[in-house]
Amino acid sequence: MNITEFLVSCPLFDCFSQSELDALAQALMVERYPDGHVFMKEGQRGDALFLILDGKVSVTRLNRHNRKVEHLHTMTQGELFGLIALIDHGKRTATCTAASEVTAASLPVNAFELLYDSNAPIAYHFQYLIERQLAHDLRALNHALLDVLFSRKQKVPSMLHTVPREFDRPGGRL
Amino acid sequence: MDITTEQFRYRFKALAARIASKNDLEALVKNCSLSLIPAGTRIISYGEACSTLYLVWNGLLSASIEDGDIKLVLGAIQPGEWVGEVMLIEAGPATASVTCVEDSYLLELSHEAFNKLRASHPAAAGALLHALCLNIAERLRATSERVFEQIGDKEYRLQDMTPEKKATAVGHITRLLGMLLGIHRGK
Repeated sequence: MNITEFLVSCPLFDCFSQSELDALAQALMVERYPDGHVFMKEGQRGDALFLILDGKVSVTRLNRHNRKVEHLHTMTQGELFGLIALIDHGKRTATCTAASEVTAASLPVNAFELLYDSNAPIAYHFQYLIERQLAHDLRALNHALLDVLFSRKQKVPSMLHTVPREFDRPGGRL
Repeated sequence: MDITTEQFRYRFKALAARIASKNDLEALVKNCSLSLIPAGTRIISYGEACSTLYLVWNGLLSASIEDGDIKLVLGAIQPGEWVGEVMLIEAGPATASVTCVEDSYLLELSHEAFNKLRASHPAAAGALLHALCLNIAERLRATSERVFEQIGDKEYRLQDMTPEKKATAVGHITRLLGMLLGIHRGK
């Protein structure tokens, strides 16, 4: 699979120029992962960003009350995960596991930081993606709590149990 | 009244700590305007568009949410804290109303002033956004952790609850909203 062509077709990277996409494509590492591969584990420090090129990735979280692992969401082609931890180096809020054979492009934190230092426009675009995602997440959680409070809904959607989200869906934000 | 970078650093420790360069901080302070807002003035209205970041220099602000006849006070915003950062990042309806409880000096950074800062000092604008985003990310992590553990998949049918249970549930959710918006209760 040609990673540059994939990036061009991905709405998440609409704001990137061709030369920026080329630089990003060079920094990304494309690999195939077996079904069941754990990309990131809840509670561990984040060390890479992943873009799904093909396959499915399941997002789960451990409920500490009943000790059950709860399935929150399934990600597919074109979705990005691990974005927030790149900037705040915080702990992962969910576990992401391959639910089929998966082809994904990864950007390790150190490669991201090199890119950030060497290519200011890419750095600004990533910062913009992160800022927008955080603003969306905060609004979505705020609205969900208000919906429950004002009896418009009875539940907080399970997708909002892990925000800032470890995942993002192109063109289909909450 | 002019504010120096040292005064800003002292007042807004948490924010300034994340803006390392003195030049960036200087540019930020220059693009903010300080205004005295009288007690009782509503600076942000819930649900309405607003795109200004307010940093509380002194005085006291209160945040609340209204829906029909219901009004919930989320808590206070004190000197050294700020409000309006989500709308500065992305224009949209306000997530709470904010009113000055006392005459308050507020440092204001409008969307226009922020765009000027972005054009003239992109590193300063980037550093400010980075600092605000880290703060939002921390609040989101902490709040969603609580939401997941305390609410989870539970169904809340407030209309069917006894008055006591309803009051507890409302208090519970109001605290989560305050936590999400970085607002303190009982101060």
